[in-house]
Formats: sequence, C-alpha cells, structure tokens
Amino acid sequence: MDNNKADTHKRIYGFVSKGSVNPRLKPPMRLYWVILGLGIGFIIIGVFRSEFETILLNALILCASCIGLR
Amino acid sequence: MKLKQTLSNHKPATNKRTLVQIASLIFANSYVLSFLKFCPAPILNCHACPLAVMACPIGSLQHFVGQRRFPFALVGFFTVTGALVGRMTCGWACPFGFLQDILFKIKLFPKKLQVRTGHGLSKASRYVVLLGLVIIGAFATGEPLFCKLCPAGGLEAGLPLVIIDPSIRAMVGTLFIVKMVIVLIFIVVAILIKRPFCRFICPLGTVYSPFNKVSYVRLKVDKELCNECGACRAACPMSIDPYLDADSKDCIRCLECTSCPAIKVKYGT
Repeated sequence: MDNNKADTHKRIYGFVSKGSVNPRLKPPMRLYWVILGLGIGFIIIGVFRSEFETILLNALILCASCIGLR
Repeated sequence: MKLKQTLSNHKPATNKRTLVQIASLIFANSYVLSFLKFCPAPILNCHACPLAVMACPIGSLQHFVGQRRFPFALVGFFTVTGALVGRMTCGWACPFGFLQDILFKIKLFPKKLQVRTGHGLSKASRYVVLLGLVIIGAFATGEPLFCKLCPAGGLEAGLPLVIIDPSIRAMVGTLFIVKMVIVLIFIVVAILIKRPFCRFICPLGTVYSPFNKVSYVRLKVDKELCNECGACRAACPMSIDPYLDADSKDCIRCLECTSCPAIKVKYGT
C-alpha cells in the first residue's frame, strides 16, 4: 500500500491498515448510532402513545411512597 | 512511590466535575422550571421533592410497569442517554452521587473501607434491585416498591415535606421511620465507602451500565504507557481498575482516571 492509500485509510478508519484493504470502503456504521436511532424511535412511539402526559401526571401527584406515608 | 508521584501530578477532573454537579443539583431542583416535569431526568432525583423540575425515571418506570404498560418513551430515553454518554450522568450530574462524593470526604471514622466493585455482592445486588423491586415487584403489586425504600426519596422528598408541611407530618407512619433509618444507614455507609448506593443499589445506574461498552463517549487505555501502578483505582470513585476494563459496566465516566496519561477519553471510534 503506497503512502497515499495509507493516508486515505487512516483518514477514513482512524488507523493505518496493515493489509491490502480497499480505502474506498465506507466506514462501518457505529453501534451507538443504531442504538441512538432505536432510542429516538422509541421516544417517538412514546409521544404518540401520550406517555409523557402519563409521566407528568405521575410526577405531579404527591408520591406517598416517596415521602413514606404508607 | 510511582503511585505517589502520579497522584502528585494529578490534575483530576474533580474541580470541573464538582461545578457541573452543583449546576446539575441547582437545575434539577430549581422549582421555577417545573413545567419540565413531563420529561424524565437522566439522574436519580425524586420528583416528589418540592423543588424538583423533572420526573424521576425510576419512579416513572415503576408507574408504567405497575400499570402493565410498556414504557416506550422511557426505554427510548434510557437508550438515547446510554448511547451518547453511558453512565456519565452518574458521575457528572446525579445529585445523589454528588451527595455521596461529599459524604465520603467527611473524616468521621479513623479508617475508610476499601471495597472492590464488580465482584460478588456488588455485581449481583444492583440487578436484584432492578429486577426484583423495580420490575417484578412493581408488576406484581402495582405499587412503586423501590420508592418505598429509596433513600433519595426519603432525603429529598420525605424529610423536607414532613418538616415544612404539618398536614403531611400528621400522616407519618412506620414507613417513614423505616425510610429515615435507611437514610441514616446510607449516610454512615457513604462516609465509610465510596459511592455505596451507586455500587450496590442504584437501578438507574444498572439500566445505563450495559451502554458503557457501546456509548459515544468511552475510555481508552494505552497499554504501552500503562504500568499498572493502581493510581487510577485510587482516584476512581467506584474503585474499579480502568486498565483492566476501560469500558467496565461499573464505570461512571467521572474521568478522574484520565489524569493518568495512559487513559484517554475516546469519542466515537
């Protein structure tokens, strides 16, 4: 791998390849982006199911368990 | 000797972290922003606290489980927070973690106890609390069982409300006394051990912990620079060995260990 290819590989992947890897390959999608997308999807579903209203109502009621009244 | 040298060169994240923790404590309990109560906080902050501005995620989770509804929004919220920073909110933003950091600085007893995290009791107890009390307990009884025993609720909601409100004071019963005993035990243990609640009990930390392995913010140990002197463990509020597993499930990403040149924060890759 000549210097030019090595530089390209380092720029894309963050490390210099020791083998002959095609530097034009796209970097793999990181797992956190997938998880982040999944999380945002869940939040959107939650919005449509009015879950934030439920959270609000639950938080506004004086919680007897939290205070220790029951 | 090497450990002492490393610690003397110590430029920890403590000062910056303390400022962020104070800011988070003020923000989470600023009262005027209580219109945000529809949104769960990424930290353990009881929403029954008279000053709280956001909902407690564990209280809300138990409410949904008790109603036998799947909490899509909460799961999404945990997933987004976990994917971005893992357990970093525990180390930088949680007021209850901050309280434990302060309590551990009190030199009331002649000796502090050294307890390793991620071994035996500490490994299992958090999962027992999360599954047993928060999920199965709430599902079976329809009640927030964890809230009944939560020392954060006792300290942030129970104690101030009972002090300021005579009508609430009149309703105090055995459970309140039990909660106060738990709070007292917690305070004594937190003076002796670093962050005992985070290590052995916190269900929110348990929810976030698997994300440490895949989150955007992670730690990287340069094995060539690391001589395993143990300075990182001494600085760690969770007493873990970052050089053995930088992405440990017990790591709260406080970044205290990054004062060592061998440990660096890694974004993304």
